[in-house]
Amino acid sequence: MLDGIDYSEPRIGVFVCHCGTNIAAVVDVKKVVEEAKKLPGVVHAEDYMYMCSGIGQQLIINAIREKKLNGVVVAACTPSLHYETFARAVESAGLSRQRYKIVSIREYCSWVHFHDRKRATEKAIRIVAAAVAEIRDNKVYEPIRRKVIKKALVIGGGIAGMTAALDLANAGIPVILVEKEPTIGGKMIQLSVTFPTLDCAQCTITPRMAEVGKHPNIKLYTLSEVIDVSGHIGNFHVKIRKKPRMVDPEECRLCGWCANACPVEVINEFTRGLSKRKAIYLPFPQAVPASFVIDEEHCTRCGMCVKVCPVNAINLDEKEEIIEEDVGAIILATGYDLYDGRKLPEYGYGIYKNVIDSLQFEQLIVPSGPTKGRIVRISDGKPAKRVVFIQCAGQRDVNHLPYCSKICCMYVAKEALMFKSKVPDGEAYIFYIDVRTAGKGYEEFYKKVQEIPGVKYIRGRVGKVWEDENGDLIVTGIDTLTGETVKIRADLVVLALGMIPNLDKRLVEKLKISTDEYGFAQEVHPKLKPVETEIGGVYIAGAVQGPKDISESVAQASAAASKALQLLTKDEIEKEPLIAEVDRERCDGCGLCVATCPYSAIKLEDGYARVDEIACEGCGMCVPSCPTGAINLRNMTNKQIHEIIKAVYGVR
Amino acid sequence: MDWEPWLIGFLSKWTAGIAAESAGVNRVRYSPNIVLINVPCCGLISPIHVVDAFLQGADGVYIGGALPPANCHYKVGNFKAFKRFYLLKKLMKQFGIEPERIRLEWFVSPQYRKLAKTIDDFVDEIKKLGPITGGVEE
Repeated sequence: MLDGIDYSEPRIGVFVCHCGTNIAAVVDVKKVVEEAKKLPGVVHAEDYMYMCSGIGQQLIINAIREKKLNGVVVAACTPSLHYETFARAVESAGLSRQRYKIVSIREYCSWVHFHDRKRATEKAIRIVAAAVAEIRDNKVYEPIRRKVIKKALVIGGGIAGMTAALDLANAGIPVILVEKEPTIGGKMIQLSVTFPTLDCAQCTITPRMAEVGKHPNIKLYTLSEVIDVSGHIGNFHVKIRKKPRMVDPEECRLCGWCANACPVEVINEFTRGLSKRKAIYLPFPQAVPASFVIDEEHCTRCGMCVKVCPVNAINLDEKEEIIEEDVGAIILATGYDLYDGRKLPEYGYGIYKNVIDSLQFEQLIVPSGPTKGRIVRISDGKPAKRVVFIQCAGQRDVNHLPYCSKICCMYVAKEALMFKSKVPDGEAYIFYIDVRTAGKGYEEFYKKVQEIPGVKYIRGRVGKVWEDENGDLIVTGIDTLTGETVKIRADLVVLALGMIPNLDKRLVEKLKISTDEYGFAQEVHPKLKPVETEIGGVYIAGAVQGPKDISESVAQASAAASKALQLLTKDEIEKEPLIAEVDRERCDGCGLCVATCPYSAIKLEDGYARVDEIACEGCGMCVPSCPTGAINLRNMTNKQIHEIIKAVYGVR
Repeated sequence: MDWEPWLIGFLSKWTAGIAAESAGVNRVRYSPNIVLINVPCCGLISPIHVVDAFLQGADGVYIGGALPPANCHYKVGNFKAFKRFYLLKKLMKQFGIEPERIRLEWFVSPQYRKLAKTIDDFVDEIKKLGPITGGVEE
């Protein structure tokens, strides 16, 4: 007896969900119930339209009480969606969640076998039989408790990462913010104004950057990358590689003498190549930390800057550091990058100087930009009077990016508007496939831009862009509304390149999270768990999860911070006790499992193997290594796997 | 002949299991003649379990794990599985069971189309092989 429930004889209830018609249209639910009733150990089986609803959950609770169930199998959707829902229902009826299992007959059956109802039903019966066989031998173990480290790591210092860090820090949680670049600010700091309100982007973001920089709860590591993550929810151990800045940010007074003295000139990545900078430089005036930085790759170590620095802030011998930190939660907010325009040779990006991407155009608009806000031809610096924007440059194209980048329609409208406000007699041509302006105030903004004289929307694709002998660009395409060929002589061509995830594969591997087929970080469920990943304690925010605009990134960042807070405000969390266990009767102390365990969680003690329950991750890799069958994974024992197989083939 | 194969598949829940879920979400159809069981790691599956499955009536055993080298949630479970089933396949011949009845496939979680395709291929292959005869010609 445990929890007042008798476990001596299996009394299992099977609950089959119709999921509206998602399951019931393919699988004969009634037949599954009938067959389930015949399974050994099953004393109750029923079906319901929506098992996850309040009424459906109540059915389960009532059945546990009335039929004295000591095991529950729910055949419905995927565990990642409703495992918790039913676990709570089962627990509220006094039954341990370890005597409950949810199996998917939707994702794993009805949604993929809609072409064959008979076999789909047969398969559903087998799936249910396997689950019943598994649950029949499940034991109830005491949960393992672990301490939560009340500290968070945020990876990425763009608008999403900064928002998440500030939300956590303001709630009293110490935050470590890791940024790869020499300053925080991300992509947003490169923008001119933001749609649809035309707020100056820098005025919106710089106060936030300053707040992050001086917040007592935020420890900021710039020029840094996370190189290793180990541990688990509530207790991660991370290693951070910090590249040398070679300028002490505490001492640097931003006088700029060093940059004047520096003989090395390189391309400025902040303006996306539209200007040059020195090897010692300030990324932009409002950079946080407010300090010059030496570009390790291009610096020749000539020492000129050291000689002129009035405060001796420069140290050319600074070495990279490896920093180790322990945190309880991780928020991943590494943002996006632009699709490589050189993969679209027909538009001439990377071939002609006057074909630029949208972020470069933003730099032409910004008053503090390389042209002081004048919109000019990059090739000769003459004023640009006619600009062609190409939307969907790569997006919605199966050969490049099959998805829609979501924000381009809006920022192209904004860029056209800004161009017209700076060059009133200029002309802007916008090639589009569809204009998508879903969002508060977005459609109104687009309509406003559409009505500006001199802004012309052309529905169609551009075929080719080339340069004539005068250095003008010639854009040819088809207007699909009139069917006519269009030929435009332009000063600038702006490509609205798609958003791609800025997510390093190695980091994905270290965090053990999964990505979608395009490399964006994968959420557990798009609607119910949009900021959670498969790995407990790791959350995602911003464009690393999928294309989104600033408003959405900020909202998602706060959501991720709130989810992290729910974890970090607890003193300890419970770990599922489904770990390996040694039967001392059978163990002969050969030590093969010790050698197999990738976590060194098994040790030999008094001639027997012993599992460290905190270190064991519950993979079960040790199980096949045991020659006597003494080591087993709790609730997935060799006997249970045997019973599962037997059950699958018992239905014939 | 009214024989049709029923296969069993063990999927690592972190990779192939997620791929199977995405196959559902994206409505990618594949043969229903396989029952997929999610396990923490394909390193949990022992050659004994696979032999057991054949004894219980499985016509084929499918194992889906993490794409080597670095995608295994538990560091090296995919390598363990690879080595164990490489050896088992060599033994299978001696039992009189075609080694092709065991199939290992490696995944990163977005590869749901690969999951559907490899299952279809596998079911087709087993259909061609027919029921297990133990090497005895009928």
